[in-house]
Amino acid sequence: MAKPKVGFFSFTSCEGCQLIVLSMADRLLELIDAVEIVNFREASTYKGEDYEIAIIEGAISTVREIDEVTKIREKAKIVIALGACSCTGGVNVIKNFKNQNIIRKEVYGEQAYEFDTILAQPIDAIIHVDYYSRGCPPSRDGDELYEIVTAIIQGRKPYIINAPVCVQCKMQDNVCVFHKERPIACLGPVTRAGCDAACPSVGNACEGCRGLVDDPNLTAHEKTLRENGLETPEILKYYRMYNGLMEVQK
Amino acid sequence: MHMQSFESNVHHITRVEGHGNLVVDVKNGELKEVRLDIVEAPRFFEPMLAGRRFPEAPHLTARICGICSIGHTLASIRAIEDALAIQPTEQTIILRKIALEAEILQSHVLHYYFLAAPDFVGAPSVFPLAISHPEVVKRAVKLKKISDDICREVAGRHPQPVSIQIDGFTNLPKVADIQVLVDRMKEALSQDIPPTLDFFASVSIPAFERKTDYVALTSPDEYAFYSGTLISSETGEISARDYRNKVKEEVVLHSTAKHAKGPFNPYMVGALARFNHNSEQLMPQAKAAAEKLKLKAPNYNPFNITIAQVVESVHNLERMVMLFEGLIKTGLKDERAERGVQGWSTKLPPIKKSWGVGAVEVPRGVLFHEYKIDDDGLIANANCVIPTNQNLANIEEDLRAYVPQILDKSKEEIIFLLEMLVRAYDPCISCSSHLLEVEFVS
Amino acid sequence: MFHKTAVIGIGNLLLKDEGLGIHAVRLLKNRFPEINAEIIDAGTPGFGLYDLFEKYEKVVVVDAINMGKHFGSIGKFTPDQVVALTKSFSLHDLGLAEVIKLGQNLGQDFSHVIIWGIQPKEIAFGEDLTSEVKNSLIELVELIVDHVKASPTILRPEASDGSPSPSKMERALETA
Repeated sequence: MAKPKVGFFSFTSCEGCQLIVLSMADRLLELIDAVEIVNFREASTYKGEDYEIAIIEGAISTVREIDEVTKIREKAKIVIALGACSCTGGVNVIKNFKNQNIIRKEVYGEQAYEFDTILAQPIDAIIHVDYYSRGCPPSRDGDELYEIVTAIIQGRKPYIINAPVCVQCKMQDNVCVFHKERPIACLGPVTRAGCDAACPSVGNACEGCRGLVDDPNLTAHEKTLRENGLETPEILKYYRMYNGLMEVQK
Repeated sequence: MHMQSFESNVHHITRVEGHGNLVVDVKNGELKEVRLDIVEAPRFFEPMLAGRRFPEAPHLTARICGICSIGHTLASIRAIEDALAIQPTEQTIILRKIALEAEILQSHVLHYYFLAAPDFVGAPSVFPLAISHPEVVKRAVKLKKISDDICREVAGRHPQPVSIQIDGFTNLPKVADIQVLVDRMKEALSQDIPPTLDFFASVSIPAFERKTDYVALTSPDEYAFYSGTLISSETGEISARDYRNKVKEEVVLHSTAKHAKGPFNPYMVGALARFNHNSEQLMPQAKAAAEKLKLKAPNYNPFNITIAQVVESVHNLERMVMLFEGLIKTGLKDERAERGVQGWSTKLPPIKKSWGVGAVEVPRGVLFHEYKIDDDGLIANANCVIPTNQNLANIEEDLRAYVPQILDKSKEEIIFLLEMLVRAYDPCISCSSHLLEVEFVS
Repeated sequence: MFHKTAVIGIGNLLLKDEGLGIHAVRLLKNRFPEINAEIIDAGTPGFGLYDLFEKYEKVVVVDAINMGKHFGSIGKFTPDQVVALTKSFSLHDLGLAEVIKLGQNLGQDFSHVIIWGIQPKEIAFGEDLTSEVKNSLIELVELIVDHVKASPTILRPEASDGSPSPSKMERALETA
C-alpha cells in the first residue's frame, strides 16, 4: 500500500487525543514517515480533502457536527474513532441527563436558542466506525492507536484485548482498590482492558473511560458497589461519567 | 491598495487549539468588522458538575482541556481545599508546583515550536519542517518529551493526571527516577535551550503595539503560577477570592465562548502579562534568555506572547531542577495513609456547606474555579473562568487596531498576519466554550 | 399457602427498560393482589431462577425480550423460542436464556414455563422506563392476569416436613 493519506479531525472534545498524537515523540516521527498527514487542523495549515484514513476525536453535540462527520465518512475509506468522546460520547454525555432547556438558559440566558447544541453522542451514532482507539486519553499514550494504524498498513487485524481491567490490574501486581485501607469504588470489573490499569496502578479508581467490556458482569458489580456502601444515585453517577450511553448487547 | 475591499471568513483557524473562525470585512480601505467567532461546541461543564460529589470535580474538569488538564485539576482542587479549609503538606505543594511547571513547559513548547514556529519559517505546519529543519523538530520533540515524562512521573499521566488528589497524591515518584529527570533537564538547558534562543532571536516579529491592561497572579515568594494575589496594571491588586470584582463574563452572540472583561476595558492574561508584572522574579538563565530575545518589561506587542513563552519555558526548567533537587535532598515522605480525599471514596468525610475559589496560572493565563458545596458534599454551583475567555475581547481589540496598520498589504498577507496575531495568544478554544452563570451586559 | 403458579419478574432496575419485568410484577401486585399466583420480584436471580422453575407447577416469567419488533411490543414465548431469540450467551451470568438452555441440557423441558415480554427501547444506566415500554405495562399485566385465570392451579398447603412438593412426587410417580 502506498503511503496512506491520513486526516485528523476533532469535534466536541478537550483535544487531548490530538495532543497524545503530538506527544508520541519518536513514534510520531515514525508515523510521519509511514503515512502522509494531509489534514490536522490543530497542527497544520494545510487542509487536504484526499484522506483515506480519518482519525476522529470528539463527540457529536451540534447539528453542524452531524453534517461534518457525515462528509468525512463519505470521503474516507477507513474511520478510526479516537478517544472516549468519539467512542462512547465521553464525559459530554453527562449533560444529556440534565434538563436541556434549563442548562441552556443557565449558560446562555435569554439568547439560549441562538446556539446550536444537541444531546451528545458518540460518532458511531451517526456513521459507521471501522476501529476504536479507546480511553480518556487514548490508552498507553497512544499505543493502541499506533497498533491500529500499523495493522491497517500491514493489512491485518489489530490486536485489541477483550477482558475487564481487573485482568491487567492483577498482571501489574496491584492490590485491588476495593481492599485498600480506605477502600474506593472502581469500575474496573466492567470496563474494557487495554490501558494496563493505568489508574488503579497509581492508587486511583478505574472510571470506565474505555467503555464497558463485552458482556459486562453488571449484576455482580452492582452488588459489590452496594456492599461498599454506595446507593443507587451514586452508582448511576459513577457509571454515567463515561458510560451514560450503552449499546444494547442483546 | 488603500482602497481595497474584501470580506474574508477564515473557517477554523489552524494551529490553534479548538475551533474558531476569523471574520474580516474591509470596505474601501476601511475596516468595517473584525471578529473571532468561536464555533466550538458548547461543553456545559458547569451544569455537569452540579449535583456531583465534590471529589469528582478535579477529574471531570481536567477534561475541559487536554493541554491544561493539570492546570484545571489544580484549580479545582484548590477551590475545594479553600472551601473545606484543607491545608495540604509542603511536599504536596512542591510536587504540585513541579507538575504545573512541567505542564506549562509542555504547552509552551507545543505552542512556540509546533503551532507558531511554522509561521516564522513560512511552512504550513511542523511536519514539512521535519525535512527542511530537522534539528528544530527533533529539539521540539525532545523538549516536549521531557515535559511529558515529568508530568507522567509526578501526575501519573499526561494529559489527564491520575495521581493528583485533594490533599495529596495517590502515588509518589521515586528519588532515582527524579534524579534521571533532573539530569535530562540540565542537559536540555545546556544543549537545547541555546539553539532555541538562537532560533527565536533570529525570527522577525511583526511590529505592533497596543498597551492594554495586563492581569496575572503575583506572589512575593516566586514567579507565580500555583498561587498568588490577582494583579492588574490598571486597577491594582486584589485577593483571588474577589475575582468577580474584576472579571465579568458576558455572552456574545457570535461566540459560544463568553467574553470576560474587567469593569473598564478588555485585558490580557498569559505569558506576556505575567512577564510584565513579575519578570524580576525569573530564574537566572530565564532572565538571560529575555535579554537575548530583547524582551523587556513592560512590553506591549502581543506577538511577543510567544517570546515570553520561550523565556518562561527556560524558567520552568530551572525551577523544576531546583524543586526536584530539594526533594532529593530531603527524601519523599509517604503521606498517603493520613492524607488524601479520593473521588471514588466509598465514604465521604463529613463536610459543612461551603464556598471556595482556586486561582492558578496555566499556560495561557489565570484560571479560576469557584464552587459552592452543599451539606451532602454535592456541588451546588460551579463557575470556571478560562484564560482564553479573558483574552477574547482583547484579541478583537488588537485585531481592530492592527488591521488599519496593514491595509496596504495584499489580502493574503493581511489574513496571514491576523491569523498569526490570533495564534500568538495561544488560544485554548475548547476550554473557553465551557460556561455557566450568565451575568450579561446588553 | 403454597401457590402452584408463580409470576416471576426478572431484570436489572438500574438499566432502564432492562428492568421492565420488575416494574411489571410490581404493578401486578398493586392492581391485582387477589391473583391466584405467587408474585415474585426476582431481580437478577442467576441460578436461583432454575430453582424457582422447579418449585412451581406453572411459571410465568416477565422480562425484557429483544424480539426485533417496535418498541413496546408485547410478546408471549415458549422457552425454546426465547433461546432461539438469544444472539449470544453470557459467560458469567445466568440469565433467562442460559437457565433454560442449562435445564434442557439436564433433561428438563420446562414446558410449564411461559414467558411474557416487552420489546425494550433503551438499555442504559438509569432507573426510568422509556415511555413506549411504560405504556405497554398495564396491557401486559392484564394479559398475564387473564392467562393465569384461564389455567388455574389448585392452592395447596405446604408440606410441613419440607418434603418435595406433592406435585413433584406426583410427577415422579407418573414417570416411574
